[in-house]
Amino acid sequence: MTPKNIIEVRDLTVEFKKPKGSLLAVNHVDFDLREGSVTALVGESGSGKTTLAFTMLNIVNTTGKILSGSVNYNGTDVLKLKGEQLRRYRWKEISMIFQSAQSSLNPLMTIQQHFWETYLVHEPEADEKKVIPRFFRLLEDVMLDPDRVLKLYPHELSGGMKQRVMIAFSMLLSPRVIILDEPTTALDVITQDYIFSILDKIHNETGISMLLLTHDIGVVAKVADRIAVMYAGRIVEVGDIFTVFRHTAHPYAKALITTAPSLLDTDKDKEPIKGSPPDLIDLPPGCAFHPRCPYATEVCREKCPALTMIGEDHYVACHNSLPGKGAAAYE
Amino acid sequence: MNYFLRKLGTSLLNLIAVVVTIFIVLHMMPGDIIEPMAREEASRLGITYEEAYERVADRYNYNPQEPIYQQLVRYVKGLLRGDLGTSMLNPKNTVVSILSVALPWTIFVVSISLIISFILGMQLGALMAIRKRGIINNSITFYVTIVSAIPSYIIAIILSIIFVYQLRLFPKSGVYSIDVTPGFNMPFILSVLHYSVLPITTYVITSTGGWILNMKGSSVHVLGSDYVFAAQARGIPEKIIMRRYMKKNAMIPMITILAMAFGGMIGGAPLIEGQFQYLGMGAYLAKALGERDFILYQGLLLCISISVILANLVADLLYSKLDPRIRLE
Repeated sequence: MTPKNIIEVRDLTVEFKKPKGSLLAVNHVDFDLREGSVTALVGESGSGKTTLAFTMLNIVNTTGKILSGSVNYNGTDVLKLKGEQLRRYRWKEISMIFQSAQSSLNPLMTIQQHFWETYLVHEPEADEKKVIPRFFRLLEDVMLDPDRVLKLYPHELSGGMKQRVMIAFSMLLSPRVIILDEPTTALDVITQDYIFSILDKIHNETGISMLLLTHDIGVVAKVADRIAVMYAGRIVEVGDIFTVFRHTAHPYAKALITTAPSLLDTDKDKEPIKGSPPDLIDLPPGCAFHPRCPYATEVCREKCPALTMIGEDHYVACHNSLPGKGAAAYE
Repeated sequence: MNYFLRKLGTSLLNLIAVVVTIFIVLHMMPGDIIEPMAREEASRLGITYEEAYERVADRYNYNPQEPIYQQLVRYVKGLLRGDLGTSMLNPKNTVVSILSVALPWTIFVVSISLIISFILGMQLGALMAIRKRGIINNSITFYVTIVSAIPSYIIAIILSIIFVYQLRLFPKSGVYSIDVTPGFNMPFILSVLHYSVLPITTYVITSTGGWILNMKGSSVHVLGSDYVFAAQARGIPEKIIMRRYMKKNAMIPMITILAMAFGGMIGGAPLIEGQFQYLGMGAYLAKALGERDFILYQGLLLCISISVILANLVADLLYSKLDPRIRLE
């Protein structure tokens, strides 16, 4: 009885050519997004989260090239969609709130013009008068005053308001998936909390699937029900949120989770992750994490570990994650 | 305070600064232009040199022997009466009457040239930004490189050799044919257009390149912005993105440059107007400079400065109309 996957990424590799050489932002990744779940994709900047998310909209930047793999949405390979089909797929099926949500709106258009434009290109038969109540409802859902906000230009909104407008905007066509790329990065903690309570409410009311890209473990613990940890273009651990938090198996994931600040214990015994993120152009051989890993052994330097199931709905890519060894935590 | 009034105030301050600066700079030039004329007048009318000097100075409303502040007061008093003085070499013509003849022709040629080169530049620049490679892009780059390397008067000379002397398609000089009567009639309008073709073509050839490159740069910048990427993610068709997102945003800075270019071009291009003997501001500017007609020169400069100030004012007001981010200030 496995839950249905709404997105299945298989063996996906995305390459970026740089003057110094080529790098794989996403490196043979398999990833499932469960229907109706809130999945958190966690990793450092540059670990490939955003690139992986972009492939789900088939909107990889022109310098990036998809070398292999597929992204299946509801039985269709999104990467094979072209032209009009692709255009209609975007936002209607999957919408995304970008990391740069603050600058995602055309400075010369009002919020209403944005909403109406996007609605019209997907529903060419629509009548503006009939859909305006829908705009109102969406903005009310994110606690904004539609009467006022619809008439405003992007620069007339505060950061938190813009973010809420983007959330309402992402729900415009009732997509089945929303990707949220660091949705609260530029906001203060109170606004962050507010945004997440709105997202939580939307999720509970609509059952929409969400993919949350973040590096904030605290946020993950609060809103997600599944977590995937990415390191240097690969998924290193994925599973149900409780399982992963309780039985963290990958040394990197473990470090991420234990270094998260908490009100309950002191910072004294927190060990920072030693070393720095790897140079993606010149990855270390074997497991990309081995130079920073306290449990690294000979095999880690030679062979890249594959994602292996170690418990129910719990997958890890680590040579030393089997019970009783190294970082593994299944007692 | 009201945005418009504030801008107007700034423009007035600019104007005062310009009047004083032009006046002082020109009066710092060495040499007394009144002196030879006074000598000539003294011997012609048989009066004393001092008396003659006084008369000449009065005629031109300009006396270099007075202290400079007194001269400035005299000049400003003239200005307030709408008197810009009299051409020194052609005392029958006041500067105002020369301006009223020259300015309309220059405005006519400059506006048409600017409109044509602006529209061409916007379209081609946007096209270049969209198609990063390809024949169109390469040929435009080639054209711009060549044209920006050739001075405009060379192009004027080439055009007149081909179209005036070889093909005899266009007249050699003037602003309209002597056979037509000025007024709102067809022969006159056609003649005016006919005479303006070559100056306009020269302006367009030389200035379009700049517009193309400016627009291309601005468009490439906009194309790289987050809101264009976000629009693609929303499934907005490319055509709409190009028009409503790229072009509109990229053109905002262009509009400012347009208004300022208009102001700047009121000075005419003395060398272009000179080549076609098209009697606009540029031609008179060249003449005044060549013949050291100091009063006329001062008047022309003032008129050009006023155009630049006015154009800047228009640009400011236009900008606030086009860009909602400026509107509220």
